[in-house]
Amino acid sequence: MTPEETIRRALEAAASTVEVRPDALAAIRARTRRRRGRGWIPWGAGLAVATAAAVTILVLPDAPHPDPPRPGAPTTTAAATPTPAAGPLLAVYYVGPSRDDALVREFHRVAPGSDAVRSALALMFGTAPLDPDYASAWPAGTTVRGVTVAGEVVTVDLGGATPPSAIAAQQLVWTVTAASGLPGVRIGDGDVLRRAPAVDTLAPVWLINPQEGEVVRGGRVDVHVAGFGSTARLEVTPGARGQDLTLRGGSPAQREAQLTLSLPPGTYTLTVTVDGVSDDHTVVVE
Amino acid sequence: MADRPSTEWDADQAVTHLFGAHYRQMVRLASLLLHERGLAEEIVQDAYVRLHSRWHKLREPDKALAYLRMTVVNGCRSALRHRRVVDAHLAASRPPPDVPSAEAGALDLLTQAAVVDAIRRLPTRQREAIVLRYYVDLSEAEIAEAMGVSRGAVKSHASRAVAALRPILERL
Repeated sequence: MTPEETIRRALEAAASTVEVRPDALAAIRARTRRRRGRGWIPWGAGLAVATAAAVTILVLPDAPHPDPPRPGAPTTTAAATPTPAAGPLLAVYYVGPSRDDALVREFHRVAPGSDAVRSALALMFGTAPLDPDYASAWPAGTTVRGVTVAGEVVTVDLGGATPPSAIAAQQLVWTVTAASGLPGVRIGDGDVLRRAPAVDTLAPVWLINPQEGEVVRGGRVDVHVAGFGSTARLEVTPGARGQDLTLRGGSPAQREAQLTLSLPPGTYTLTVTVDGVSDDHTVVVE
Repeated sequence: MADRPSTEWDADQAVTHLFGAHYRQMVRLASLLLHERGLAEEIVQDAYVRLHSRWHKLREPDKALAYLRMTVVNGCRSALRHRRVVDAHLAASRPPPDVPSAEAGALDLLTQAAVVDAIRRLPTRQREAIVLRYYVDLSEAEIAEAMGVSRGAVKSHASRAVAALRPILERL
């Protein structure tokens, strides 16, 4: 490998553990709307403004959920009602949709101050995913005895439990690296594992936003899709509205599309399809 | 709205399109420059908000993308200056593991960790040149624009960075 390739691969590996918040576009929108109302916010106000805005517009459930909200339960909303700052959103990986050989991702809110790796693993092992088409590849009852960090490796003690499959190992690796920001994971005294290539590991299409069971107020539904391909088909039922989305940007392999739908109040199923594989979520518009 | 030419986008549409196409990479760029993820996302969101108010002057996605990059690089630079993230990070960073396991994945991992760690320790402008070149894959002219320096300065920052990294790369 040339030095340039080594640098390139190292940067790509470090960057690939960085996840973005699922509500980022809504956060930006809330600020541009406010700006229009109030006039220019001086840039010198800088990060303090950003922090305040991010805290104010996030209106998400007070997690952790002992029971994940089902469709119809009040969950995420883009309404501008200020609430106290909740804890961070963590990415948790599952297998699905309706298949057991590829990973999908959900974001779950945890209590402020929680240890990210332990919380993410507790969700992964102990909480059903929001989407009933997703599942954990790990057997029920797997528990985390301890989490230690040495250098760039997080070691997870599962009391001797080992991954039941290669995808189960990757489910844990993607979840732990997303929470820790470190590239290596060891299960018990096993070998150091790292993320396998995205294209071999992740489901061909993800409906990132809205999440399953979300309640959206105001009729504007922000849709965020990622997939391995250049186009995705989006269907909204009822209404039989379908459109082709161009996927671009994102990581080199997994491209993304983002759009906003205006929908009258009701319950809808959004289905995205890439190369014959679909992911669907039910969303309530109020 | 996707079918309308980009020059007819209003500021909201421009932000939506540029968000879909570039947001994640911008956050990743910022976190490579900063090594602090929460702050990285704030800086990128600031850049999109600023883009929204500048759109009437930019009008074109390419110009808007260059503006976003420049704003993110600048935002990271000020954050580093003001908050001394680098110092805090270096104080907290651990020495790299001494004994690489024979397992291939672990060796690869150690290589990558050592390289990223070395890039973290570079002076700010050298790190910017390396990350923009090898992570974002920009041309020299684009890097110069994002960093707000001349192409000659980009060349010299990049060559000094590669020289500083060489001993680590050769040891691997």
